[in-house]
Amino acid sequence: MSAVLASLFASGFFSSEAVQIALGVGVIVAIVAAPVGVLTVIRRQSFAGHAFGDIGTAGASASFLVGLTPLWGLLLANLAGGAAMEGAGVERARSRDIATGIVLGAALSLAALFLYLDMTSTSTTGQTVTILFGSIFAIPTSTLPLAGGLGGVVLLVTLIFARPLLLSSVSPEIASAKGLPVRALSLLFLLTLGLAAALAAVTIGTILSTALLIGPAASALRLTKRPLSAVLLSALIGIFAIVVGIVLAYDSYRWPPGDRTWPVSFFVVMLVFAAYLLSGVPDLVRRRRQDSWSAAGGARSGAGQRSTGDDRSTGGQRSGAGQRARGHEPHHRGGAGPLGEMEA
Amino acid sequence: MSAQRWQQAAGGPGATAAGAGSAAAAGVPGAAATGPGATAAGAGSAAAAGVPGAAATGPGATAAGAGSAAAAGVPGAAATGPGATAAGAGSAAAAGVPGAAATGPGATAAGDVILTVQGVDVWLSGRKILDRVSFELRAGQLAGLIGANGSGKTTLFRTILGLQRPSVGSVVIGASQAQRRRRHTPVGYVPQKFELDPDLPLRARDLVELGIDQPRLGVPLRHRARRALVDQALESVDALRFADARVGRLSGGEQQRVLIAHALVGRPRLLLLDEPLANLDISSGEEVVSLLAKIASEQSIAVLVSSHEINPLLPVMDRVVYLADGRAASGSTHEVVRAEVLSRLYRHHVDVLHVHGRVVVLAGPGELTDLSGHDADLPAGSVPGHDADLSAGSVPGHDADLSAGSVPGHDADLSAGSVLP
Ligand SMILES: Nc1ncnc2c1ncn2[C@@H]1O[C@H](COP(=O)(O)OP(=O)(O)OP(=O)(O)O)[C@@H](O)[C@H]1O
Ligand SMILES: [Mg+2]
Repeated sequence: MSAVLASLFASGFFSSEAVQIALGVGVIVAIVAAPVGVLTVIRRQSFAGHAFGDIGTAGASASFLVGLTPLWGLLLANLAGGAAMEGAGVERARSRDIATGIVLGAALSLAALFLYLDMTSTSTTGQTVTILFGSIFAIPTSTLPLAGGLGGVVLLVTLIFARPLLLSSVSPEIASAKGLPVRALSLLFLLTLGLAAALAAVTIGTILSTALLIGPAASALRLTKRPLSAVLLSALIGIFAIVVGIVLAYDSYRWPPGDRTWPVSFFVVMLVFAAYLLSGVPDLVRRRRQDSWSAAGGARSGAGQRSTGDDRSTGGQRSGAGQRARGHEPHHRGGAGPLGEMEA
Repeated sequence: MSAQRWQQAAGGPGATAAGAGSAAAAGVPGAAATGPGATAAGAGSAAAAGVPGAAATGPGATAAGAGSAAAAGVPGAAATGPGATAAGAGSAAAAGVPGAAATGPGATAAGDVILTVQGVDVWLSGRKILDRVSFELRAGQLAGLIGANGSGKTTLFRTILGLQRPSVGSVVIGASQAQRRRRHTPVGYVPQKFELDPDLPLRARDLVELGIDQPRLGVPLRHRARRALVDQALESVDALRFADARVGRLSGGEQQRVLIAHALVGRPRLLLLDEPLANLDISSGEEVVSLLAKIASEQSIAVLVSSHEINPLLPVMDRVVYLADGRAASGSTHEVVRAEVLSRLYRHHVDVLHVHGRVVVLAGPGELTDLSGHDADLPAGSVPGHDADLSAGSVPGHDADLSAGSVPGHDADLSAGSVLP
């Protein structure tokens, strides 16, 4: 037992302060990312989430220049970026994406300049790598309470505005008919997303921060049809990826080339990716079973069927319903879809 | 634009007139046509048909033949022609006729005034979309908002909801302006277009739950009371059986019901539904319509339902607001759905036929000279595309069948649905 533990957790894992801070910040980020990520996926704003990565790059690289903790730079840049995206006009998803893209471009050009200046002032690329890919074991102690406070704010906001945010995400039209300030809610959410992205960037870097925001949420949404369970599941997946990622990264110190840990972001994001792939399996299995059933003449016993909406129709209608569901797949199902379609 | 459409839709004009004539001749005892706008010829033919007690008054004869459709052939109906166009729309409601309240399907006791739309003008991108629209809606009433594509139905809804500011006029929801300011009259709304993502992590009941009016913000807590409210709302639209399905994966009609439940669970006094029938097959449409009528009367809610087609709503409508190019005529069905009223609204001669309790509104034969050229272009009986369907419903043979009374109800539906909204 202890041998297993020892091989799992390299010596010094539990006593290392860097590991403790990494775990603390990582878990905070995973929890915060859950409700924000679920709303982001529902609102189809993954692109905005990605933009915050690039905006954050500009902020973090600027903060290095003036000697601030990167988190501050990330925060300020993301808040300003969020306001700019929203201010650029976001009545429609299309123009919203354009606004996002334009702000993203401006931020990246700033990042190019600041990263260049960072590099020339320190004569190394260390900071660039830290900003882009994170270095969770080098998070300053002072960041932990800051991350905790910010995480608390984000959680509180999403908790307080959960219903209006959810409704305005599902149907802005119905929400505004109810008198909800859809525009203000949208800005509020964007700022929240900016904060969460900043926190994620601290742990795994700006480039991959979206993966931690979107991945667990997208996986959870494939597994459950309830909003609250989606958030909880997403948090669990995120915590799992972060913690296991940190453990593996710490272990990787002993792996080739040696004397260095592999980037944590690699492990975390690969785990998130794996979770996403796995989350498609139940649906794939269900659909495969349905296909073989309708191939067998649409006979239906009802046993072993989950009573989802798709399963209500009977007999001859079944295959039609199945086809309709498959029609949606390429848009919403990522990798799982094509398999089902080839079978059909 | 739309005038051209009607023109084409009219199909074989001669035959229409013939059919119209016989429909009018089938006029019903007690039918009365009065008012300044009444087409003398139409009413005249009804009278000429020797219907006992039919009365026709009013100046201004229009073309014969076509006009003969004017007789409101609904049993026991008293039809008034207040000459309501946009300006007169408000007065149409007021112009009560003795006995009108007691007849027709829409005669329910009316409650408080819930919605007052008064002289509303709406401009969008420099175009006048709504033009002096006025009407009133009371608790327990179901009103149809009837108009063709682009006539301004959705715009009117948005104006009522306060999402669109009128440049002139006012919308008052609830008894008084004061009440409205305090936002005390909840309004339920089911939009025309809604896209629910198939992967939304929401069951039908979760979406309905979001409709519960709650003063405090916060996460949805699963109280027993909430659940009961949600179940009740879902049951009232017969949606309990798919309450636990992902809402984005329900069919369009099922989603519609869920959205109606979502609107109802907020206990609205006014319920607005934008084209709820567009997504539904005929029988589901009938179900939803009777459901709405039930909701209106049982829960004493004012319901406004838009549709481009009047017939599905005909059996349950208390009031009708007819829109054409942003102008409105409103009143009871019998007051509004008449040749002279609609002709003024459309600014074009139209005929209103009543066939087996259904209404056919036809564009009259070439009253507007600038459009008659279009008719000439079209070879008889070979109107292209969609219009071919339309004219098919109103070709001579069919009409003859109808007047002979030998066509089953559904055929009448088809021809009825297709001509003018
Ligand atoms: N935002 C806008 N800017 C400019 N014109 C608009 C706008 N919204 C609607 N319109 C125009 O107003 C007119 C009425 O539109 P509206 O959507 O109210 O029609 P509708 O009666 O609901 O039609 P449909 O039956 O097709 O739903 C249309 O001609 C439309 O082009
Ligand atoms: Mg519309």
